[in-house]
Amino acid sequence: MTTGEFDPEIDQLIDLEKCHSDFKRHTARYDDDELAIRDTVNVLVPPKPESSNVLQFELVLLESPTIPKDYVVGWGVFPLLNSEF
Amino acid sequence: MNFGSNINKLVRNIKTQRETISQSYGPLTLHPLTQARPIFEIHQDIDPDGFLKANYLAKKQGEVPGILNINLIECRCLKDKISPGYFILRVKVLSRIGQSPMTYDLNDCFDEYKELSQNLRYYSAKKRKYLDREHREMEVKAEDGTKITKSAVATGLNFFNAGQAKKVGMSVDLDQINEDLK
Repeated sequence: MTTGEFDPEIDQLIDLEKCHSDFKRHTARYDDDELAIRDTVNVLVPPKPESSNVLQFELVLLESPTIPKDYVVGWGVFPLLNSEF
Repeated sequence: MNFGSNINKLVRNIKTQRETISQSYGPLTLHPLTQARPIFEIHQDIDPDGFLKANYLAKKQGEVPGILNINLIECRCLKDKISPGYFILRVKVLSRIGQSPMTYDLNDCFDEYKELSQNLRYYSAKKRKYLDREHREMEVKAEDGTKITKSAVATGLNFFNAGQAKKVGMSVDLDQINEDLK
């Protein structure tokens, strides 16, 4: 039986305050294929998901001296299902 | 032949097929999915305490919002389709596409999560202990001629210690497992 201490090899830290990844720089040249994010996000989902429920991912371009405000430049959805859909 | 008549013909065929199948084999599914029994079930007579805990676990998991752990890896093939700058990837749970996000408060169900995780750990530790032990059984004749179930002779690396396993009946000692878990 585990003693209740946090073991990073077994346990997973859950941070529900965080709803987005850390920011990453993309230089947008012709040879920049990918934007590597490599981050983990936890969300709470309904206990009995309906067939219309989705997970939405939004790619947000952040505000900077040359960009006046935040823009959502891309999005995609993923269905939320359990074994009883 | 138009499209509508084709569809009607198809539906009629399927209905007749379903009738023939249900007449010869009975109903296609025994229980609806919501009433079906779980694949791994603890038997009530063998382990009443574990049975209650497993039932509670199954019931609570349908009431408490679930936690998803999402690994965001990369956005592929962006190239110069978007302007340069700093980006984040935001995740939302929507009730349907285009609607406002659904939010749940962790504080409402924090105690239930604690209880559920303890029960899950108890369940998995118990399962591990059970699987780790030798629990093969075989029928042997007792001295008075009756057939009894006995734990089978142990094999594997420590086969020479097999003489110690002489418990008649169920070879897994549930009381011992419960004591170990405490």
